[in-house]
Amino acid sequence: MAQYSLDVTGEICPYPLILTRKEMGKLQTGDQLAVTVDYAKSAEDIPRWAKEEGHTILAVRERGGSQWEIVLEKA
Amino acid sequence: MGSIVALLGFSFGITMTSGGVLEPVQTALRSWVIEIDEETVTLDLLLRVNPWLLVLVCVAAGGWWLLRSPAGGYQRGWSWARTGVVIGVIATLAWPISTLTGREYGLSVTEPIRTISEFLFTGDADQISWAGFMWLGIIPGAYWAARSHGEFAWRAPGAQRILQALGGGVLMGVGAGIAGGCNIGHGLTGVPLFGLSSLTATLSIVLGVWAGAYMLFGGVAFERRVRGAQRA
Repeated sequence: MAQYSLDVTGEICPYPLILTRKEMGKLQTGDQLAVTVDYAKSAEDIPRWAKEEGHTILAVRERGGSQWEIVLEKA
Repeated sequence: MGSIVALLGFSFGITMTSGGVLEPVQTALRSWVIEIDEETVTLDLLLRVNPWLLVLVCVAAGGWWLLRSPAGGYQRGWSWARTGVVIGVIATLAWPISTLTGREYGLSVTEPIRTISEFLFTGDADQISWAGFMWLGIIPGAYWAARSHGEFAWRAPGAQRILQALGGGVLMGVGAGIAGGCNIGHGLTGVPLFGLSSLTATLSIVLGVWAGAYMLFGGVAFERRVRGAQRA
């Protein structure tokens, strides 16, 4: 299991979700990806997409200042 | 910042198409008009049915579809159901309030952006209507909504994304100028009137968004690998 991070701050919808999808596509089962996002809609879309895909949502942390960290584990 | 640049591009696009260098394109594309009994074609007129029958069908079909949709699971802010009802009430109230000022139309965004842009460049304030002030109200309203939910922040994407926003904004403006409205004017005002032009424009917007998403992101934007058993 490896841990990766993806910073998509500054990006607006749909880029954070698209970039997260691409990054998750490169990982192996069990790998974790911590996504930092500052676009509120994407902070909702990314966990929803992950749930639909069957990935595990390990955490959705609010960092304040309209910034979130979403930690996903690839299924 | 990307959204502000897109808005500027949108404004340029509308101005170029309505009274600007692209006006001939707009004139040519609008020269073919379909009318029934010299009236603008609406779906009820085309099908020769009572419009309220269509309203009933839409409410029943839309209601059934919405009730089957996921609740949303929003982390903060309003649910889609609450937001939808509020937008519906605002879109409905827009008609009588706007009519009080002599403008008989509902919500519109393309028209006020064009008139405000014209005012800023020519000083001609005559065309600014109720819609102009409504549009100006969107800015503090959106700011208040974002601020109150802790979502407001100044964001600046990279140069490439800024250029994409500018190009996308110009294309949206040209499209809205040719169509005489965008997803608000056509989608929220024209479609509820069953206007055939609004139905065509809204369908074209949907197809355009899909085509644009596919061109920009390829299959990644459309891949669905939902595992039924694990779906919420």
